[in-house]
This record gives sequence, structure tokens and C-alpha cells, in this order.
Amino acid sequence: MKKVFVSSTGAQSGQSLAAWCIAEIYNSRGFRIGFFKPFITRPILQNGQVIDKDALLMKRYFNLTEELNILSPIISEGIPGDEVVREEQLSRIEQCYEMVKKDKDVLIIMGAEKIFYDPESPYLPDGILVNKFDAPVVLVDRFQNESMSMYSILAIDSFLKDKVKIVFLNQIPLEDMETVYNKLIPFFQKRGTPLLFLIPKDRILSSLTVKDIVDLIQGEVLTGESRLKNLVESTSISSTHLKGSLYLFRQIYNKIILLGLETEDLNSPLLSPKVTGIILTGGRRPAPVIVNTCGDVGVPLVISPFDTFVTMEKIQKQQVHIKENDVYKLKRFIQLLGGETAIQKIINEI
Amino acid sequence: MSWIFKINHLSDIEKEGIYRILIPPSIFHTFHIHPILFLNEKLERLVRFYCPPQDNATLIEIKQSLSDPDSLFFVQVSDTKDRTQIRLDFIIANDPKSERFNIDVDALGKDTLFGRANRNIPEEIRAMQAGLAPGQVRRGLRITGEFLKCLEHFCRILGIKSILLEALFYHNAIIYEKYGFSYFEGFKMMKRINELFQPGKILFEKLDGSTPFRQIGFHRTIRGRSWAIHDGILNDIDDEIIEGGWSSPKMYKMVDKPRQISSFPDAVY
Repeated sequence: MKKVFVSSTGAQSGQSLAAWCIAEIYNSRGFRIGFFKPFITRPILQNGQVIDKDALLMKRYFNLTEELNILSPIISEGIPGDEVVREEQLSRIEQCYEMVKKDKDVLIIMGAEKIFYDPESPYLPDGILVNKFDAPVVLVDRFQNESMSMYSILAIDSFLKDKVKIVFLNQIPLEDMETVYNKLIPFFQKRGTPLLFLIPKDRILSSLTVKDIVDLIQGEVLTGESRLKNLVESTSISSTHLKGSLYLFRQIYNKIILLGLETEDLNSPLLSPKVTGIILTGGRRPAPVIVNTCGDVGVPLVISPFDTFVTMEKIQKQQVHIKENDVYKLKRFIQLLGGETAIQKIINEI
Repeated sequence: MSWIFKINHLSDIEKEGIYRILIPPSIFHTFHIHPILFLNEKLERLVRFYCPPQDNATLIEIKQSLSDPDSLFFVQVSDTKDRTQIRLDFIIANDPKSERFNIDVDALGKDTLFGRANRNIPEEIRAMQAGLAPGQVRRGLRITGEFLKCLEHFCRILGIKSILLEALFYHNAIIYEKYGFSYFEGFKMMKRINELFQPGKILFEKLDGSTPFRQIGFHRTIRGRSWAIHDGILNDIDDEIIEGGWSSPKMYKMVDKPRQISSFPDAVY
């Protein structure tokens, strides 16, 4: 059985998407996929039980038979550094690991939020788990600047004794892509390992859907139910985006316009943002002409119970977390990695 | 890069410092709001700014009390494609002490879009009788002139040459004319409306008391004409220029170069 440990240099790096991507690469080639995430780092409550969102995504997408409390068993509540707790955790991890690896060809093991040692962290350091499982590491780094990425990768590879095989350098601003390509790729090529993949900051990967926003603001959808998968890259209160029959909305002051791509345009990411939804704030129901106008042009219309300020605050605070419905993001991530050529390189390297 | 978009990229303190120019100073005194901290006597912050970095619009809202459903002052300005212009999207100034008329919601509680999408006739009658114009839920604060001075000052600082807006109602257009605005679109319609409200002409004749908003004598005042137009009087006549009824005129003002336009000479409010 092949094991792959997916780790990260920090929060919000794209680690979940990377883990899903590696799993899908093997899954698409007919391998039986297993998933294991020792620590619950993205908790949600389901039927009174705390479960991990990544474990839930993997279980559903890959039809894994193991229970969620086996796929991601540990809720870290102990005091950081408590040796007794640590022993108990390791024992539980060992027990669950034996169960999740059964009848699998490839086991994706996902680390906690960051691989660097943090005395305040409630989780066991990823380094201990990497060594325990003796697994090659796919490291995900959210790009900040070339120097920071270079030294992070070198430091981690050094303390993991060359176990880092692949690095996804993620969310690189487009304007930095060329510099990163010219500086980091030759450096690591010369060094031999790890294999570096540059992933640009991408509008599709960083978008929410209209449905995400509806859930977030506890909104009510008045029309456009079939288009709730439209992407939302940004929001605006300005009426300049309103053309054609949507011009009517210029006269409404309590509105937020959602801008992004429609689902059918996902393969044309260079298109300008369109109006992909409109939120009426303040909880007041609009006149039928307003609803019908949106219905006619196929733009979802949503009422928010909150005023414009509170609604926007809720949207802006939201962090993009990957979910099982986000298959388009998975496909986009693989596409940005380099498609089939990249897949072959990844398989060869791991 | 246009100005609002550019300012929205500054820190909160910086952009609030710039956008406070848009708040008429009398509001601070009248409603006992600290002009620097935006706090009332209970130390509640009553002024809210919405100006995120990715947007090309900014919104300022002031309430007398945080729990009030209506703002006492609400303004939204936005960039246009031309960085020497600014668009005044909305300006609402309500006197919170005055009676509220629910012309903005119908009997089912649905938004009427200030009576433009559907209407709450009983409330509109009450509002009209109380001296309000169409679209008003309360008496105004009479600060349009003061606000426009603030907006022009804002424009002068940034080198913005003109202010654009759409006049939602007839009375709005006439008031903006008085403050030096001219027309991109709609001047012919405004002039024609004035002609047809003259005694003996078709709009004058239509003021026949057939609805509470079409009373005899309404042609003499800005407010009277505005109510009649709001009531759809323009749709009841066959005229080449006014075809299709009321359409919000697109207006502009050159900063420091007011025009002397009057489509309703010697108008009384």
C-alpha cells in the first residue's frame, strides 16, 4: 500500500483541496483510495457528534465505508504538551490507522493545519506522524514571497530528512508568477527534490457560490433556484454592473450585487465577471416586478434578514472551505497544476 | 483608477477621514453626534461607512438610534468610467422626529420601491396631505443644498469635474435644476411636461379630481405635479415626447460651474 502525507506550512493554504486532488489522481487510475486525518481540525457537529469536514468530504466523494470517527478520530482537547494525552492520542491513531488502511491501494494521510512545531498547538506535530507512518510528503505552501517559500520548504525538507517529495506553491499572484518560476524552479531543479508545482491565485478556486452565501446570511431565495451554483468572486453595492432589465435595480438602495462566473462559463475563466446574484438587504420582501425581472434574466434573487452592513460583514468574514459539491474546483486545481503531464509527474515522484 | 475605488483601498481611518467630508456638518450638531468619533451621548457609534477595497462605491449611513429602521442620512456615491466624474446614486435624509408614512411597503408588507413598483395608496394619500412629495417616508431634513456643497467640496479636493445622478421623481429633477444641474437626458420631457401643465393644455385638463393625486390646481406646484406624475398622468396622454410616461432624467452638474436651467419657471414647491 502506498501512503501519501499531505501537510501544510500554514492555515488557508489549500491543503484540503490538495489532499482531495492527490486522492482523485489515484482514484481516476483505478486505485482503491483510503483517507486518514488523525486530528479533527475542521470540526462540524453532525447528529450530536463532532466530525471533520475533510473526512466527511472524502467519505462521501470516495464512498469510504469507515465511520467518520475512524477516518478522523481525535478531537484535541488536552493541554498542549501533556505526555499522557499524547500517548493516548498516538495509541488511538495507531488503532484507527490499522482500520483505514485495510483493502486500500493508496492511503492519503492529512496533517493538521501547519507542519511547523508550535508549542501552543493542541495537535501532535505533523513531523512525528510523518516519521511514524514513514510516508512521502506533499507539502502545500500558500505563497507570500519567494524567500519565505524557499526557506520554508528547505527547513521542512531538512527536518523531515528528504521526505518532502512534492510542493504545491499555491495562490501565487499572477504578477509574481514569472519571478517565482525563474527563481524557484531552477533552484529546486538543481537541488533535485522536491518537485515544485506553481499554482496561480485563481478566481474560480477562491470563489464562493451563491448557495454558500445564502446559507451564510440565512437568506431566502425568491427566484433563480437553479442558478445557486453560480460563482461569486466579489460583491458590490454599485449599480454600474446593472445592465438591461436589471437596470431597474438601480432604484433600490438596499442591495448587494454578487459578481462572478456562471456555472456554464467555468471553462472560460477569462470572461469578465457577470451579475451572478442579487441580495436585497433589510429583510423586506420586494414587489413582484422585482422578483419577475430577476426570474426573467435567470439571476438568483435573495433576501437577507440583515442590513447591508451586517450582510457584507458576514460575507467578508467567510473563508472559502472546500466541500464535496466543489468538484469544479477539484478539476480546476488539477488543470492549474498542469493536467495530465503534472499527474504523471506526481505519480512518478510519489 | 477612479477615485472611490482608490480611496476604498486606504485604511479604515484614512477613508473614513476622507468620506466624512460627505456628511453635512449640521447633522452632527442637530443630532448630537461627535463629529470625529461619530458617537452619540450614550457612546454608540451612529455613523457607518461601507467602502470595501474591491468596490467602486461608498455608502454612508447615519441613524439617530441603532435600533431605528430608517436612516436619518443615507448617501451612496460611486465611480463612473470617467475619473473626472462621480455618480450620486442615492441621497436620503429623513427627519426622525416626523411622522412616518409607509408608502415604501404595500398592504402585504412588500417593498413598493418608493411607490415605483407598486403602491400603498392610503399611505400615499396621507403623505401627500401631510405635505410630503412622492417617495418620501418622512419629512426631509432640508439638507440637500448643504449636502451638495459637501459633495462639491469632496470633488474639488480630488479634481472631479462633474456630478452625475438620475432624478427618480419630477420634484427631484426640479430641485436639482435649482442647485445648478443640467440634463444629459430628459430635458425635452421636462420642458414638455411644463408646457402641457399650462392652463388649457392636456395635463392641466387631466387634473380633474379623478384620483386624490390629480386635484385641480396641482399644476401650480412642484409637489402637486410630482404627485400627479407619480400617479401615472403622463401615461394617460398621447404625446410624442412623453411617450412611455415618466422616465428618470439623467442629470449632471459641473463643479463650480452651475447651470441656470429651469424647466418650470417660477415654480413653487
